[in-house]
Amino acid sequence: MALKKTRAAALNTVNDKPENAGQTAGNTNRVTLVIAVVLVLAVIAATVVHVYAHEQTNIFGFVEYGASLQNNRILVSDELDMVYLGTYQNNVLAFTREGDPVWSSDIGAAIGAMQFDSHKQLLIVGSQNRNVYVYNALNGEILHTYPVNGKVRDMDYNPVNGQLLVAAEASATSSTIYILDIDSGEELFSTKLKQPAQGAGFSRDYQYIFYGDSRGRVTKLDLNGDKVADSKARTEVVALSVVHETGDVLVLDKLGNLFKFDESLNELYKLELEGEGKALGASYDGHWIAAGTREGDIYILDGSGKIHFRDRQNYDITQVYFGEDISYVVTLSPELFEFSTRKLDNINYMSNLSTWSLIALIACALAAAAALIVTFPRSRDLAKRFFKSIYRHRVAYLMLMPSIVLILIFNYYNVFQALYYAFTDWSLATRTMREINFIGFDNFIKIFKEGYFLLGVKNLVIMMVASFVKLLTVPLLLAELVFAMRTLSGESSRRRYWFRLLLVMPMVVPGVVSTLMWKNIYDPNIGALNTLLKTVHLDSWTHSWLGNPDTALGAIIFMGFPFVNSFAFLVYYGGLINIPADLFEAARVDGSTPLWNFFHIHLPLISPQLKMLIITTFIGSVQDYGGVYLLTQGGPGTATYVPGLELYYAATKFGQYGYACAMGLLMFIVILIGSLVNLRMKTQELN
Amino acid sequence: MTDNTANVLKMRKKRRMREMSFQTLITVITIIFVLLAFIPIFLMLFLSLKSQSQFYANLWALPIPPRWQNYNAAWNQLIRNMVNSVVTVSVGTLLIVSLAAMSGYVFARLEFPLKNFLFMLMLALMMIPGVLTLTPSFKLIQRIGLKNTWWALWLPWASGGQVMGMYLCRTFISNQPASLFESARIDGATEFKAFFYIALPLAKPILATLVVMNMISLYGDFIWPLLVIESNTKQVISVAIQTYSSATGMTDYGAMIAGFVMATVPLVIMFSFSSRLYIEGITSGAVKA
Repeated sequence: MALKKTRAAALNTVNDKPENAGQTAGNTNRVTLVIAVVLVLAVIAATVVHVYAHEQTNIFGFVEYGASLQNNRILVSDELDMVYLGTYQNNVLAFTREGDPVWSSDIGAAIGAMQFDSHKQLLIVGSQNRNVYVYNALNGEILHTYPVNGKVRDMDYNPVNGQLLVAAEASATSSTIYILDIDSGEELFSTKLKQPAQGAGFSRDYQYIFYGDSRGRVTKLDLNGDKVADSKARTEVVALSVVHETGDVLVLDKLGNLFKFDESLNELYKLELEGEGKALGASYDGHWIAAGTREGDIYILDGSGKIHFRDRQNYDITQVYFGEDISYVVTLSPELFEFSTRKLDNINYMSNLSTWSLIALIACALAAAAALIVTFPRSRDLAKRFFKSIYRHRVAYLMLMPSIVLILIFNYYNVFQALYYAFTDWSLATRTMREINFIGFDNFIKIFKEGYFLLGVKNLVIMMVASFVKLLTVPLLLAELVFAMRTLSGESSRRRYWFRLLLVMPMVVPGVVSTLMWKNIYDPNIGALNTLLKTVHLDSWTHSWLGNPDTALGAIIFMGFPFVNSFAFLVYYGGLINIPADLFEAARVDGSTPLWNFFHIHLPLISPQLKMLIITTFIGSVQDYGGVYLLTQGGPGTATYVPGLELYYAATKFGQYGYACAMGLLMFIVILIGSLVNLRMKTQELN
Repeated sequence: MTDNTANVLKMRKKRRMREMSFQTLITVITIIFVLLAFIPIFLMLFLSLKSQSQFYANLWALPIPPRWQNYNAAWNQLIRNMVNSVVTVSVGTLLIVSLAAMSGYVFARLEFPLKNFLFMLMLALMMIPGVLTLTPSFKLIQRIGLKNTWWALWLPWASGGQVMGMYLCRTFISNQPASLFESARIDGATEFKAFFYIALPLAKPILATLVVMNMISLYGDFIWPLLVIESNTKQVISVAIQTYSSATGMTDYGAMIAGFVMATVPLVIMFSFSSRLYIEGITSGAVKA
């Protein structure tokens, strides 16, 4: 009978609409199960699409030739079916398309630029040894050598009349731009610049010259050497390229800013790429632009500046060469890549597909999980209870939300970052985050080897002991004194109020101001301390207090005399006045002395306050360096160096971020151990 | 009988004398400490009116004639930074205190899942030294583009400063009688109303304590603003006073010290309004481990 009933109920549920089914908990919901299965299938499909699309965006292929060399420049001749490599190791190499070596030539210096004359079959090589070589492209015979005044940085070639544009860097403050006749070597034009020109090119009609210099200026000259137009990049120009078909000028600067100018150097757009700019290339029609960075990033953009593809290789990108069919990416290494220029058109579509399929994948997976949860009675109940509970306590969560969000972003995120970076070589020299290397415990070994940190520890211990003494004496004494003030009839006195106020008042002087004021008091010439000593004829006692290694640490400790720590005083005092009066009454009946009262009533009953003050003082003094920073900056010598200061310098002046994080981590461990010991000690005492 | 009374009187008188001399003694000692503590402040006021030659002639001589131009010079140099400090510190303190009050109330009065976990999550931050996160925090601010804006001060200040405040507020609010909140709930007050109309007014002393504590510590913070604020027009006084002091420190001591006095004035004004509540808050016994 009972069985029948449940079965009927089950049948009922299945035939019911989903929302009804949800209400009768305890049954599997088939509709959502079907949905879940469909969604899982969708997830699988999305994964397949994503993997396929992702593979399609992977367009680079390795090229075998030129292995074992640091390649710098490439040039491909479609007419001769030849590939020419200029290396950083002084070689010019010629290969057939298939990769068989044809000829090679050693010119004793790195190759700066290459150009090709397909009509005359000349290979023109500009070298860093201040020469331009003209080769017979077929057999590698040197036909001409033209000296130029500087290392060749960039060249451009006008094949119609055989004019070669050369940008040669003589020194950091001078360079020359030449136009040479390729047959005679005759200097048709030259202009001297006060800064190195890194990139130069002819305009589309070969009537003008564009160049970019190390000041970040882009200039257009006519062939008389007169400036026609100019414009600015952000920093040092590293490459300049003129699009043959449109005449637009592309400029890449050292900060990775890519600019596109029109022929009159009006800025068309500007893009920021991540990394240090290094190489720039554009296809003949300007449809594709490629930029490479020193970190090995390669970006491929379309003419409007939209990034279609981005990849990272292991070495500096030195050139991106756009050929008609095959394009090449040259890195400062044996690794040379080729990609099909045509495939680029496809890449945009594929990368979109890849992104969207990933989004679909995640969405479907989430939906499938939700559907599955709703399907089974137990998980359905759990989910319901979870959301109900959150809803019931929504006020608590809402009120906590801002605090928790802030803490997660501005504290915990940074804490985990610091934990991670403590084991890396992150420093000022690191150019992008991806270049950071994991170096294990090297930073920690350095802390113990380099010595500055340890030197600081000795001073820190002295200063910490002093600050504990300061904390436990004067403020406590004053709290006791003020607490003991009463009228003759035994009531608490008005004096209490006034002294309390007076003792708290000095804290309105900001810490920086009072530290600087003490710096003035310690001044050897006009400081109050030395003047006071002279006034009482103790001239021999005068010192350059902060300038003398023997007295500097003492002077820093003595700062703030007579150490009326207003906060500690108030906390102690608060502890004392909160002691129940009947305790004293009982003690008095037993004939207690004030001293007995102090040790057996006052101290135990203000121990929570003591504990708090000791922990905060400990935490504060381990990492404190503010006073030292303002007074002596750790000097003279290392007389007042503290670990916190070393950390601060590492993080700011020296830019050793990973090392700084490691020191922070070490100090955190010390603080953690100290606090735990402190907490434990006190709890035992209380029991 | 009379003998006895006389004896008692005598003893009482003796005790009275002893008590009186004891009270005198402790008062004198306290006065000495107060005077010593005020020396730098007196010195500051006194020296701020001296001219350069008066510094070298005799440091203790009265500044006659007083050189009021010192304050002129300091005012012209520092007023911008003082206004910056007042604005940034006020906003920062307001953020800290409101966050601390809310989370303190929640942890003191409400029960909800994950309460202990979230509480420990916040409290554990007290153990984490600021220097550990100095570098990543700076890089974070740089990356999210807040560098050289006041948000770079407010957000990390609020985030780090609220923890101690939350703890103090929680202790203080959990000492408030629970019956108050129960009767409010019976009368149909929402949780938020109970917080706003009961807990907050009763927590005034601890809130004042938090305001004063945080104002003083934010006002004195010079490491963080030095890192994240670049332009002098946005810089706060605690950093500006250093530059100012090294700029004037060689040539014009009087003007330098007048600058110190000026930098103190905002805190004096703030303190004169809140000292009573501040003292009440700290001595209430909530400040303990």
